[in-house]
Amino acid sequence: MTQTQVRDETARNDAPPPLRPFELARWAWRQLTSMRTALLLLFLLALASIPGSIIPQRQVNPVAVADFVRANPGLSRWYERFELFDVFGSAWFAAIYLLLLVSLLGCVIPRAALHWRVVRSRPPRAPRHLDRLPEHRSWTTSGAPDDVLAAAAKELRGLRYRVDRSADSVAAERGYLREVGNLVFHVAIVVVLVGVAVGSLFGFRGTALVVVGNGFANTVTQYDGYQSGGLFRNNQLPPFALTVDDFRVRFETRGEQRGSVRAFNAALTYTERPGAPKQSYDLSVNHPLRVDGAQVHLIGHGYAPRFTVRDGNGDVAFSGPVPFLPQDGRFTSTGVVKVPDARPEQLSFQGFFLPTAVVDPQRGPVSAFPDALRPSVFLTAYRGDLGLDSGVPQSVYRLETRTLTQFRSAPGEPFRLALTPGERAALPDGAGSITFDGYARWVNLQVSRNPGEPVALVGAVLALGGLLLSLVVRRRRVWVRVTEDGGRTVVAVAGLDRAEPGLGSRGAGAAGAAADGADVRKAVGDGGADSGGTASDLAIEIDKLAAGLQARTAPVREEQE
Amino acid sequence: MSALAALSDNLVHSATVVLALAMVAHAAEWAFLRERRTAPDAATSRSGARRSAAESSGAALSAETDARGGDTVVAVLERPDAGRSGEGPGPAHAGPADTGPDHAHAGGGDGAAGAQSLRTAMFHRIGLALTILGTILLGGGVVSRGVAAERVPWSNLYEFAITGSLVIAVTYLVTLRRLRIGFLALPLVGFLLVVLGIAITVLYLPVSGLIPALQSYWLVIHVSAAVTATGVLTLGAVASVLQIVKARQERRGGGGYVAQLPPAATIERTAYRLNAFAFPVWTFALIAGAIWAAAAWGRYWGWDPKETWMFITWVCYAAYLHARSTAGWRSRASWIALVAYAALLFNLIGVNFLISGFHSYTGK
Ligand code: HEM
Repeated sequence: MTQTQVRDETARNDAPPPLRPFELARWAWRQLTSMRTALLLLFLLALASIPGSIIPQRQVNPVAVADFVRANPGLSRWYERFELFDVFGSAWFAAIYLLLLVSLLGCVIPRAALHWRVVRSRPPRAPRHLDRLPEHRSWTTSGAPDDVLAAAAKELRGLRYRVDRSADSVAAERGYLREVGNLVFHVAIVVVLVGVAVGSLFGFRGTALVVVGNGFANTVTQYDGYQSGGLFRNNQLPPFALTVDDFRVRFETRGEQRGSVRAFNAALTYTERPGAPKQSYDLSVNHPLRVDGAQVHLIGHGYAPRFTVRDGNGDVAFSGPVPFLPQDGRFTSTGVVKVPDARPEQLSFQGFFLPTAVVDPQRGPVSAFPDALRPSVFLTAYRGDLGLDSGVPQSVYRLETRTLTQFRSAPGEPFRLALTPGERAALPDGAGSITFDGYARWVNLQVSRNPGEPVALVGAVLALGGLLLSLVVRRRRVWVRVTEDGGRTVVAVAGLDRAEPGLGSRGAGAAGAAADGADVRKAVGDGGADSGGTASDLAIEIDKLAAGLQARTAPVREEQE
Repeated sequence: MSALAALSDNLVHSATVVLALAMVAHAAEWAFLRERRTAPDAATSRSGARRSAAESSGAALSAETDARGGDTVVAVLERPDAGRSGEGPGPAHAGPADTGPDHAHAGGGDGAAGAQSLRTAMFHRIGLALTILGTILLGGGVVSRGVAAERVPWSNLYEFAITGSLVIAVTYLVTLRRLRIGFLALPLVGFLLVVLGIAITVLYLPVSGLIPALQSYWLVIHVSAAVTATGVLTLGAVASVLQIVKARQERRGGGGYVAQLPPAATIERTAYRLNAFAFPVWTFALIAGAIWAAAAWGRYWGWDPKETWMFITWVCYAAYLHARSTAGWRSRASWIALVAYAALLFNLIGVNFLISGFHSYTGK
């Protein structure tokens, strides 16, 4: 689209809205598809994204949202009302990008049609005064006019121009790919959006915490967190199963970044579907397992201390690993042990697992390093009905202590247990005992499928290609005219760049702003003011053309101007 | 700390010192430019006729060009016959373009002014030489840092800052002649100094390994594209600032340093070229980042604050490109470019320190 067109369009936009419904609709449509609206919508989109990066988002970090709501209940009600905890899924955000999408299509489709016509029509005729164009050359030769024109047409084709010959001149134009690139870029943005939509309609994502040594079968019930697109049916989950055989992690032991994770990976055995042969895979960050259209990512890890709990009757009421959740970079982990099978009363424990326990004078026991160098658990204990049969769902990581009675060592002083692996402690009053048997590790697996991904990728690559084309290619016109002057042939060559200077040019695309073939005088005016006296590569190309023609058609002398 | 890591630190420190000297040289250059502006007035009273004759013929300029060691050229010489052509693509076109602030404006071929311009040119060249030296030292610092860490040197903000500065400096030096951005020298070197100063004093971290999510070749691709785009966009932003200042000076008049800058329209075009070059690179960084996220976290886009701001920056630069072709908005383009650059800076600084997310690799 040339500048001139853009300008016209705006002029149209500034007219007051007409009153008849049809015209009003047309006026509104023009407003919507104008460059100015596109610009404003782009700004709006940028602006609308900002709260999404500042206010905690449910999609990104539900825990942070819950904390925020607890801390600011009043403000949160307003946030909730304006969907500010889910900016990128909100109606108003959707309104902006859908408007932009409509504007884009309304803009691109007519432009594509226009460009199609331009590509099929002839390059515009030579303006009358070639010498008024910003770049021109002229000389006389003894060659016949027809030969000169034929030679010019050939040269220009060699320079990849589209050429149109008439009686006394040759008109040539190239750089149609610039507009094609621009159109491809804009359409590709739509393709990316389609990819995103497909992904959110037909995809699924779930996370599951699996203790090392245990297995996982891909069904909805095995997930801790699960979400799927509106058009995804849960029986479409690929029926694979896997076992986590081993997990290794390495931490930085020196320097300021001591304690940062350096590497971790999990050894898996999996079957693609029931009855299929077992395969093994080494899962690590950046190396997901791909199975049956789904991907399995390793997104987290932690510790699961192993306990054996004996009840008041002396029977083993519980034995096994209990996943604790890391609270900080040093894997200070918290968790609870619920023992509903304990008799006569149910038992429960709550506390910390510290992989490398040290006792800080102020803060008490803390973890000093994320690796399990000196693991310990610190627990308090409860008895009473856990309420698991009440039907109200409970978190396995939190204890509802309202109905429970805490064991005490003295009035007002909770009974505390501090255990190292292999240690066992008896509860007061012969209520039972707990043994800290050691620890296992757990991994957090994310299973997902996003059928929109390849679509979005293709869109993104197309967009990039289109963008490069539209920024690198320059639209350029060249004319060659011959006139007879007393038996000699006077050859005039001139060229004009349209629109922006391409990235490759060193000079100004002098005439850029307004130049259309006819508007030469204006173009020259602009060019003079604009060019700042740089050597444009249009000049270089015109020189090359002139030199080529002169070589082909016997130069006589340079025209003195 | 390994010897290499220590070497890297020393190189970065020396680069900073050398760049500080370069800035002093460029400051001196600008100071003399300013004097030159007033000098011709004095000259006029002595030999007005001679001066104007010299100026209009362009002879003074060619003299000046020669005086400056012949490394420049034609810029203005060509203007009188920009539309003609007899001369062809010879040395005029092939020759390197003007590298200094537009010395032509001051004109003035006689004694006093001549000496001034000699001095200006000398300081410009000293500044340039020091900038080149500083860049080489910085390059050494970045490379030795990478070798010492046995990975790419941009996994924390300190490394991002020194690598980014290197990209800015190299882009400046490489495009200096092609885009004629000599007028950027002083503000640019000043900017580099600030960035390096902050890097050394606030952001510094000793060499260490990468956290696992950062171990991927897509990361290398993503961050190198982002660093490159950031470097070039920084140049663009500096140009936009100068454009705004210069446009104001053109409207309101007034002299000083600003009067020595090339015309606002020219600066604007330079800024556009830099930004338009960087935009596809940024787009590519965005795509590479999404591919990396897909591999590392199983989703290509998650509206993590870092991603969100990368998107905001991208949209703002798209708006900038649009504004340049929208009637009535072109004059505001420089402001939009600066808004976009502010979003970019916020992504580097604000997001890393104020908001945390998956990406925050401040290393703390
Ligand atoms: C999702 C929204 C959009 C984005 C991200 C976007 C981005 C861009 C970018 C980066 C450019 C410059 C590169 C190039 O020339 O290819 C551009 C150019 C252009 N866009 Fe858009 N655009 C969007 C929507 C629109 C809409 C709705 C319109 C129509 C009103 C439009 C019309 C144009 C035109 C006419 C140009 C060419 C300007 C020139 O020739 O310099 N764009 N767009």
